[in-house]
Formats: sequence, C-alpha cells, structure tokens
Amino acid sequence: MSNETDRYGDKLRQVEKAREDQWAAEKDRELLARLRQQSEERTATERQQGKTSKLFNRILCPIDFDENSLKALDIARRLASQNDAELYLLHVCATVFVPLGGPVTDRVMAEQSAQRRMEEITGQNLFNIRCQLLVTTGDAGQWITAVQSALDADLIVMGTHGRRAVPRFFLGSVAERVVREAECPVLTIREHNHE
Amino acid sequence: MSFPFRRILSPVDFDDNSLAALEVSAQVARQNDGTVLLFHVVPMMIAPTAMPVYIDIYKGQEETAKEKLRQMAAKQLQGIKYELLTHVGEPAGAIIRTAKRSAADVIVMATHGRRGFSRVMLGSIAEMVLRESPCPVLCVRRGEPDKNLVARWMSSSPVTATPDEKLSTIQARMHEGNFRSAPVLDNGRLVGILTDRDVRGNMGRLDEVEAKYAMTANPVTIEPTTPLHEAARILFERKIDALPVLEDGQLVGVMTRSDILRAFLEQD
Repeated sequence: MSNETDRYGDKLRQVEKAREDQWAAEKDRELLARLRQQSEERTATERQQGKTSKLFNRILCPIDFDENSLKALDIARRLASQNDAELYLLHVCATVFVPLGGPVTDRVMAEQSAQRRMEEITGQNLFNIRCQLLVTTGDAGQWITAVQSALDADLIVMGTHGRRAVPRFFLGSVAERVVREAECPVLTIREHNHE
Repeated sequence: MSFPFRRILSPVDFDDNSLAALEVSAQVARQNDGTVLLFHVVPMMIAPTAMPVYIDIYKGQEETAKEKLRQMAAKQLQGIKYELLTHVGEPAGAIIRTAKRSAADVIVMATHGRRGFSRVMLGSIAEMVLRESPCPVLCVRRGEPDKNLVARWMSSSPVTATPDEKLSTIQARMHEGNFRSAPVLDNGRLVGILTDRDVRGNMGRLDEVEAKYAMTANPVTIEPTTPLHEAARILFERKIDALPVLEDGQLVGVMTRSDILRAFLEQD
C-alpha cells in the first residue's frame, strides 16, 4: 500500500490548482476593468465640468511598508494635496507558496492584512486627500504598470528600493521595470534623499 | 531637497526627449513659483594630456550650447524664472554635483525608453543619475510620437512565427492573444505575413502545412514615420488587414485596420 502512487490525489490537486488560478485571474481582470471604468467616468465628468488640467490628476503610489516607500508616500501625499489630485495606493503582495493551507486562503489573508496596514497608515496621514487603497498579489512591476494604465494615472511616485533591497543595484528590480515601462513620468525617491 | 519643488534641475540634450522633460519642468516651476536650472553638459572624454587645441574646440561647443540654451529658454520657459548652466565633462557626475551645489529639490530628466519590440534600457546617463541623486528624480518618457504618424497608433504584435513552424501552433498563439495576423520572421528578418484568412484557407491541414507555404511572402511594409493617411490608403487599396512596420529593417510593430479605426475614433 505504501508504495502506491497517489494518482487521484495528484489529479485532484491539479484540478484544484487550475480552478484557483482561474479564480485569481478572474479577480485580477475584474479589478483592472473596474479601475479602467472608474477612470473613464471621472475623465468624462472632468471634461464636462471643464476642469482645467492641473499638473497631475491621478497619482499612483506603490508602497511596500518599508522606510523608503513611506518616504515616497509622504511626497505623494504632498503632491496630491498641492494638485488636488486623487491618490491611489497600491500594495502588491508576493505570491506566497505555503505547503500547508490552500494558496487561495493565503492570498486572501495576505491581502486583507496588507489592506489593514494601509488603512492604519492612511488613517494617520491622509484624511484630507481623496485616496483609494488597492491590494493585489503577483509580480509588482507588472501590476504597477497595469494599474497605471487602467487608471490613466499621470504620475507614479515610488521608492527606489523595496523589501529585498540589494544595495549594490542602484535601482531595485521593481522600480527599474516601472521607470522603463510606465507610460507616465515616474518620480523616484532614494533612501538617502533627506529634507 | 525640500517640498514643494522650487529649484528644478533640468539637464537637457537639445533633442525631442529633452523637450518633453523640459515641458514638465516648466509646469512644476509654474505651479510652485520655482526656478528651472536649465543645464547642458558638453560631453568630453578626459584625455591624459590636455592639448590646447582640444580645449579650444570644447570651449567653442560650450558657447554654442549656451546660445542654444538661451533660445530654448526663450521658447519653452516664458514667464518662469530660470538659470542657464553649462559644463564640459562627464555628464552624469556633472549633473549630480550641480544638483548638490545648487540645492536642487528635484531633477527632471528624459530617460530614453522606447516602445515597440525592443525595450531599450534606460540611457546610461539617466541610470547613473538615478544611482547617486541627492534628491528625487522625475523620469519623463520621450514625448508622444506625432499623432499623424503610424508610430503613434501601431500595435506591437508579440505573436510572430518562423517560416518552418506549423500553422497549428501559430494559430493557437494567435487565438490566445486575440491577434488576427502574425509577421513571419526568419532569424529576425521579416519574410512574410500570415493572417487568419490564410490559416482558415488551410483548415484541416493545420498540422502539416508550414508557415512559409501559407504566408504572403515579401509583404508591403511601412515605417514608423509613415503618415497615417498613407497607411490607410495602402490597406484600403490592396484590401489587406495588416502592415508590418519596419525601422532600420527591424520589425517594430504592425499597423492593422483596427488601429486605423482606433485612430479615427480617438481623434476628437
């Protein structure tokens, strides 16, 4: 009995994984579609009201909860306040692979915990700015450019390094990708930029 | 460095990319009643022995640069406070030193990204500035391509095929990405184009027929600088759906009927 391969078990796990991947992809698509629709509606109302184009209308600030990105958030907040712009905070959770517990529940839990941390931060600092919190899971660079595109954001404000900061690279891999691929200007804040 | 951004260092190069970045600098300065530090570096390789002749040449270039900066400022920075700065030497280091010395609050510069197939790395100067900058750096993409040219509206089609590939695999990729045509590349060189009509014409034999037999060989091509009208005319007269776009002989995108429609719809 012990050396029988658990074929059915494998197949069931594969099916489950496929369903989870589908669910995740569906969720991602819905989020992007919702953001796109939101931004189109807002652009339409802005055009109707004949609002003069300010310097920045929508600012996207990806955050990581570390020092560098909190510094970036501070700048983003001030820019949003100065320009009466909408501020979108985005946290991208890493895809966690945990042998125990299903990936779906892990992802949901990780996102919820990230959401709570973001609400803590924004509660303290961002009460007078129109702000929206977004949490997703996956590849950070890809998500940031996708969300910028869906929102039609005119500025991305981010730190140069994230969690996995490798000091010898001048630019973390995520920032490097975003600067290279984003369709709008990107304001990069270094760890050592001080007031 | 402080907020709001009042001292804006704007390194420029006298090309289109720089103009886009300078426009952003101007807007920031206008908003914050700030000063644009318009800066150009004449690149010079540090020679071990500084021959007098060479120094004269560089002095001449610096004078020309100063004049060009004056013209640029007169045109782009009307109503804004600015200072004109030049330097001869190594660009990135000069930018960093100037940022520190003049207490810049932000550096606004173009970063030479490129759309299409080849995503070129950041310009090396931008890279070095990002590495050492004492203040935030606003990275600005090159300006939008002229909206009457193909470059602005073309789609970059990641689905390409090789001449010896079977139609079945190509069709699967086209279907997955929702593309209706696929350029055929032989070692990176464009040799033909395959549309879904060609695929449909070979239904039932997709596993056997190779791309080179189904494709249109030596297709009509255009360039990113071809006017939109011209592309539309070709698509209309030849009753085709997709035109490969070549730049310096390299495929950089595809101009399809849908792109023409999109250009038309977004033109108001």
